[in-house]
Amino acid sequence: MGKTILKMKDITKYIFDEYGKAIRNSSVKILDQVNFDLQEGEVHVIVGENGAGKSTLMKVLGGIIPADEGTVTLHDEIYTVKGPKEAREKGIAFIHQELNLCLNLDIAHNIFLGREPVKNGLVDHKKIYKKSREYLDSFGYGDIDPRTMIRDLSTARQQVVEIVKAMSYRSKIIIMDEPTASLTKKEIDHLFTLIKQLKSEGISIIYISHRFDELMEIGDRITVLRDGKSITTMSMEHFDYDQIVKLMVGRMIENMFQCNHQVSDEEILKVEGLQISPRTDPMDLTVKKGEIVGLGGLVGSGRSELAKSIFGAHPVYSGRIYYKGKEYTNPSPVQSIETGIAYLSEDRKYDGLITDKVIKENITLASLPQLFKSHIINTKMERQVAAAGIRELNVICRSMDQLVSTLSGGNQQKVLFSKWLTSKPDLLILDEPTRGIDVNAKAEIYQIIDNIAKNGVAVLMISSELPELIGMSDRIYVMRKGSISLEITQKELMTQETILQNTLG
Amino acid sequence: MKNIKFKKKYLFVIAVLAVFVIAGSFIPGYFTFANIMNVTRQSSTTAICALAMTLVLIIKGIDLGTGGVMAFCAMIGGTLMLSGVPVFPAILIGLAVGLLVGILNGILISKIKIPAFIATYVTGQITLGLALVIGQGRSISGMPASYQAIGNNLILGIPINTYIMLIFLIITSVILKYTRMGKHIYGLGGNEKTLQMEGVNVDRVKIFAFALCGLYAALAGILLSAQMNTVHPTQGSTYQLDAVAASVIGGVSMLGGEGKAWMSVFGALIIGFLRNALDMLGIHPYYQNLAIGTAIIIVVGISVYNRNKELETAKVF
Amino acid sequence: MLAFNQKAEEVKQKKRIRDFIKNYGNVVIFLFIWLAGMIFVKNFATLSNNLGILSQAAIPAISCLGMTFVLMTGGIDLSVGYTLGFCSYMFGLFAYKMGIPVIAALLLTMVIGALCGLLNGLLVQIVKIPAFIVTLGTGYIIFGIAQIISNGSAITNLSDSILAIGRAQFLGLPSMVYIAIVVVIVAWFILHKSTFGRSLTSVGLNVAASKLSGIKTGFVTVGAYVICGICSSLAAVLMAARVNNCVPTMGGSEFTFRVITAAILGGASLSGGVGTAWGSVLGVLTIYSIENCLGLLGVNYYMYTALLSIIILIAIIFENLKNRILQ
Repeated sequence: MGKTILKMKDITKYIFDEYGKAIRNSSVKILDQVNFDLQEGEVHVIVGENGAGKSTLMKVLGGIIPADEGTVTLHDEIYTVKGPKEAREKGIAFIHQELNLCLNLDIAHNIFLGREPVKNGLVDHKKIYKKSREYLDSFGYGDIDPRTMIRDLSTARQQVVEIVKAMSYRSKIIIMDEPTASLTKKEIDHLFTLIKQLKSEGISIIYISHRFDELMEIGDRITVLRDGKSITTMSMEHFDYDQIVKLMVGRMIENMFQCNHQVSDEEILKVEGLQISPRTDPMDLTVKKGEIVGLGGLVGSGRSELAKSIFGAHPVYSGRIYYKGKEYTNPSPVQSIETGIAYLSEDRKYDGLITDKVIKENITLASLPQLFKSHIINTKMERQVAAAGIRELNVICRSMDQLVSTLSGGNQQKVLFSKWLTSKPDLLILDEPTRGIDVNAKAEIYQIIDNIAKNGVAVLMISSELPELIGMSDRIYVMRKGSISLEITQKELMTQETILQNTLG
Repeated sequence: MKNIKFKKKYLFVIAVLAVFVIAGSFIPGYFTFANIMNVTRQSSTTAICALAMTLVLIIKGIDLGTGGVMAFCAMIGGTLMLSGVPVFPAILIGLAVGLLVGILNGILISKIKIPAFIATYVTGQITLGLALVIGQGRSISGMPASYQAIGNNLILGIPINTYIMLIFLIITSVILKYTRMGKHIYGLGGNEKTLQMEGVNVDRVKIFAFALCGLYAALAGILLSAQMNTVHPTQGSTYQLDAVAASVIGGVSMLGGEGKAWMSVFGALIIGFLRNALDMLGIHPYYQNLAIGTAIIIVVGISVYNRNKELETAKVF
Repeated sequence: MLAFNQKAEEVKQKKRIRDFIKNYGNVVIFLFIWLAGMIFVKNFATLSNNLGILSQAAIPAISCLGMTFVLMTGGIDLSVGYTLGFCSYMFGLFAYKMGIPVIAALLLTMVIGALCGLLNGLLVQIVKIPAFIVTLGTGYIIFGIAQIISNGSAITNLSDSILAIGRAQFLGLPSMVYIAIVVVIVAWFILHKSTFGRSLTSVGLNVAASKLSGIKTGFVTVGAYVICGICSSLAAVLMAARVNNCVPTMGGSEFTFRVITAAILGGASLSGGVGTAWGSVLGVLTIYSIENCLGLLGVNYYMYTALLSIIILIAIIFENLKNRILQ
């Protein structure tokens, strides 16, 4: 393609909090000595499962978070930036999945946001519109009026605006994160034409996506990331679907999983023809008593929405839910908990636990009506329940009056489990139960889940980690684009490749 | 899509005018030149307050201290005039104080991150309290004739107040539409994160908006006192309500990022004529406030409801 | 190794200080004011003076408790002063003009207060209009309705039994103080011992997690505003009994300001989830102690209203800065 303009070497990043700072006492690595390089005028695709580190690597490049170790060289000079604005000044533009535009301004003003041209002290509107018109024309978008408000544009067009804006800064490298997620086929064709034009002008594009059919069309080289490591980089000419999938998942499944539970015949949950949006296909799903059913799929495939629909925290557009044989109409969290359905949410810090509260209060949070029928909190009972929860799940803490925010990720997750177990569910829905916790804690959680099933609880487990999904589940459903694409009922057929293939677009 | 929005705005203006023409024909004395001029003069004060409020509403803020600033700055100006300071410098000092209060608000809100409604509420109480201190709880009057002239005289049949209001309307429109700061004010109301990523000093934008808000409130108070030839310590309280109402009726969204200066002024005129009509029908100001309070809640409620519906349909699943 | 231990100790100490200020900031402020008063102001630290402060603080304290509930949901109620005036008139209407027995009149007035709170709560929760706009508007609405009903008049001849309660003294303290203490205990109980209180703090800290945990977040939020309305109505009746005057202009924006700032000084967080019953009491005592000091120093009445506001601003700045520095 051309000479190498960007080199990322041995990039390492430890797990970090929302401020980008490394979380103390944790050796979990999000990126582990990643190597990546980019040539002039190429489209370099990055693929990897959820959590492989694609977004994090790009955030490092885009100046949003700093790397903990490693070096980046751009045009043969060391590259360190303190923020996205500086990154853009050095020629790197990052187009995120959530677009960075002001909906209440028009296209031209968004392109020139922060650098509005001024003439005689006043903003030079003529220049803004003229230049925007030029930029749009140069990419073949003569039909887009720069005076259009962003909120009146389709997502595809908003994306075009972001690209045009990036180009107006004379960016040499454009990072696109899942650009085709909400585009139609025709819009994707337009985007690819635009990308090809950019290539011809010597612009390099880093393209993150899991849509393999598109990748083959647009990519020049492909890099596979897995578990925070760069596995391989190869030319698209040698692209072999099966091989890439193998590289994405190829890891030894350690034996962290024991199975002491037995699946009974009783159907606890049955979902018939459920739609989580008017545009997705209906789904059928069952979970038996004592069974662990895995729900796989990529981020954005609708798994959490399905789970929340059953629980009553997301609307149901069609279909029925049967719980213990009876139809469950008008689901709501209050009703679900009452009848014995529990939902352990994906992000324990956001909507799982109340981190500013103590352990004891978090454990009883979902069981207040159950435990305290008179609406008065019985301190002694609460302490007993909390102590039992802490003991059973081996939560490591100084006392039950400790703030949850001071616990490690693994212990926080155990508190979350304890909260839901306290509500004595017969159906427990888990959404990414081991996200963001280290290996040892994971093993403990797997044991906890196995015990739960052993006690006769029906478990529906959403997971993006294929080894976990395969190791824990008695059956697996795979979701894609808002509906179920595959059900695997036999253990032998549960391979990482099969599952991944059914998640990819 | 653009055409529909365009028509909606002008339809609104026409509809309101129609209502007034119809309603006014039932009220004797409503359409006399004297009355219209009077209402326009009084509405000019409201209009300036509305412009102030518009600036901060666009950036998703609010000023609950407008009333206090109106009283305080007018008190300062008036007291200075009564102790012999010439009218013009006295007015300038009053305006400067308003500007400073606005800057204080801006700093409290942007740097110390106190929510706007509390920051301005408390500073409003401070300025109100100080206004009471200066006047010892009483109003002051007897300012020089030239001061009164500003508030009452006519040039070419139109009150000076109104000219001043129009000048500030033009200034505000120019700022919002033609300056970088104005663009950033809208941008801030639209997406603060994006603006920050573009390297814009967001704190400075906030301080600017609140500073102007304070300045305008001071101006409104000073003009009002010029008109009445008195400074009442509590003269600003109704204008607090009307400024919000005028902006909201004029299409400024409580959720930020939207609003036009001339629409807010138009909103102020609507309120002015509405109050006038109700006055003439013998309806006490307390009941007028009831109506306007209800109107605010209804208009804001509708806009919030619509915005939430928009967000719902934009979701992927 | 040594350096590591030192650092760990430093961090632990900082944390202790942080937690202390977080939990007892209101006590610190109150003690500071009290000690300053004792040292610099003649006659401040006398028993009779402090009893006087308690008497003055009793009625606003009741309303402040209600405001604390609202602040804990992350909202605010700017209409309490007007609710107070409205309820005072309604009480007079019920008890005097309509001749309803006192207890029933009291209960009816509390219903009126609850309805005012319900209006606020529903608009905030269901229509999702920001609380400060809702209560700004409803303040005027409630005042307007009060004016319509009262037609501009006041009621000033309450029955002797009511006035007797207003004037009764016991151990040197007016009955108001004892009634207030009862209300504080009830509020404390609801806040710290009931599932409603637990739900309230949850909703204030994290609505999303609360919803998913089966907490009826709408009920809790609206409930907080209703409680605030009831508290204001109770305060209204007591105030009317004390001054023998039932008029819509009682309370007003000045009262609202005192109540809000007392709640904030008492430790209630504007972002929600934080607040205690005794904290609110401390907040009210702080405000009235400041007023008392300024009064004893001979500071002109208007001056101290202004000074009080300035002190409150400083306290709020301090509170906000403390949160940011300690993060």
